Amino acid sequence: MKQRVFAFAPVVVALAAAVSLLAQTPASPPASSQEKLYISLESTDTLAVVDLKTFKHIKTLKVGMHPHGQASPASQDKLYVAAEIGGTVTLIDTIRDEVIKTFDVGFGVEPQNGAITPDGRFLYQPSYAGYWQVFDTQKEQIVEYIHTQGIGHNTVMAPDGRFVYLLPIAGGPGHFARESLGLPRTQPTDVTVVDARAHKVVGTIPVGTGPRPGTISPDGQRLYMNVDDLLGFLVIDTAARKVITKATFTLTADEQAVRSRSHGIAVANGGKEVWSNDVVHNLTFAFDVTVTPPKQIARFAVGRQPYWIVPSKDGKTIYVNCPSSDELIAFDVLTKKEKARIQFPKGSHPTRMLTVAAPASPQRTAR
Amino acid sequence: MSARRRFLAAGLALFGLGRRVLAQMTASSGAVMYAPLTRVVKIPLTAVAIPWHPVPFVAEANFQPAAAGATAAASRRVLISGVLFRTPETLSALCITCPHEQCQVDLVTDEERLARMAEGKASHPLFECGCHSSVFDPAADGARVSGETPRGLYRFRIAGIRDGIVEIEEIEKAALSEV
Repeated sequence: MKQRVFAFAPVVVALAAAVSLLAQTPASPPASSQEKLYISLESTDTLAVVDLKTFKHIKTLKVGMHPHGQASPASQDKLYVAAEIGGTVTLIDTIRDEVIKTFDVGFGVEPQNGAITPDGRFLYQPSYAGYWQVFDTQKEQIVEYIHTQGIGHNTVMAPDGRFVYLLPIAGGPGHFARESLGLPRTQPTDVTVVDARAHKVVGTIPVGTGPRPGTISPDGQRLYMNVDDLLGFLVIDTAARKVITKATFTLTADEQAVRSRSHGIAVANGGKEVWSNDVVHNLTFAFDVTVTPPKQIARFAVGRQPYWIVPSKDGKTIYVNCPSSDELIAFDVLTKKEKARIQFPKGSHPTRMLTVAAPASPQRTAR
Repeated sequence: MSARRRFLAAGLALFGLGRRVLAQMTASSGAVMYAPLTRVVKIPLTAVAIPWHPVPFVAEANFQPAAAGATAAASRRVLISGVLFRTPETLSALCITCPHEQCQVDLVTDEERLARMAEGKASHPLFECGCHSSVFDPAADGARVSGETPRGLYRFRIAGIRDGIVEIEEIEKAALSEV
């Protein structure tokens, strides 16, 4: 009998090792998944779930007040949604589209658009108070604070999870009236680069003015970013940590006579194109970024005040939302044609959004 | 009634509005400077006969940066979106660019939305910004009610009503560098 038990021992050890490895390895994108778009409907304190196969609004989830940015790990089975009012972050199960829990751990003044490490362990959550908080999703507590210039707002995670780029925005009288950690409030001119594993600042990227939304190429070599006073975007070499060129929207004389801003930026077509919004002129632009400087290749009239823009997982479709006309628009990247449009209830104000390839069933992940 | 009389009557009617605007300016931010529009905006009075039905318009002005050494050649042509509307009491013309981040505001008349925006306290329509939900009071010359915006909406100055036409000649000077 004893001999039989020992005969199975190597198999048991191998199985245990395999299970352990599964539990520790960062989850990769699920093979079988349902691609969905999660959109913060700011004025109704809800999150709209859109099935991207049918392009239908399939569910509405109640989250914190004034939902803002969202983040999802590589496993894509969870989504973290920050609430500007009340300072909470809500955790969503993206398989069942249900609220799992709400973290109220002192996220500070108005949590904004965070990013999460690919393994899902650390959520970098910015606050209007002028810092980022590193939230350990396993311990469910803030384990580090990182102070930056300006106001904590947008966050970009490198695809390999090695670095996280903190993009604070400039502040005006309204912004700086908020409480801070007591640290000096200075207008931002840099992107702060953080080692995402050690949670330590390892460098800065001078951009000369207030950073705005940013995104990163699939290979992590280029950071594309809107900034204040540029109708277009900067192209940043992440290895050199410097701006290498910029793209500028082509506008008519009448459009140039109306001040606007760029807000929302996305990489499409396998990293060959970057799309970005011109808020006040109600336009979205597409650029070829394989050339220097990037070349404008398309311009689209969209809804009122395009605000955020994200690609589908395969980079072949671009989604633009327009909070002033409560619309979500899908564009085909290859043909540069509008594919479909969803009209949300008037006054919903769709703002931030994220595409998620939710696994068809629960995955074995580290957390 | 002659055109001259109508103009005078309208002028008297607007005098009350002017006093209220002046009082608000004094109470909130001190003296408000106005800048001339390049062309007078003209809108028929009949177009704003019904309260809370705004008539959109685009005004044009020149922005001269105050920087030392700035020349006339450095001036910038500025197009400003505005609305002319009537409250039950008066006429008002406001710039609809939100002073926070330049998105355009909309006049909300839907009661359910108004209740949400003003926590059930709204007694009349309000302006709301679609981007960050700042709220402004059209009955108080666009004063800030809530939200991210650092101030109220920029104001146009109505010069008068001539032959049934409302004439708008000036814009709050601070708007020129912001919109």
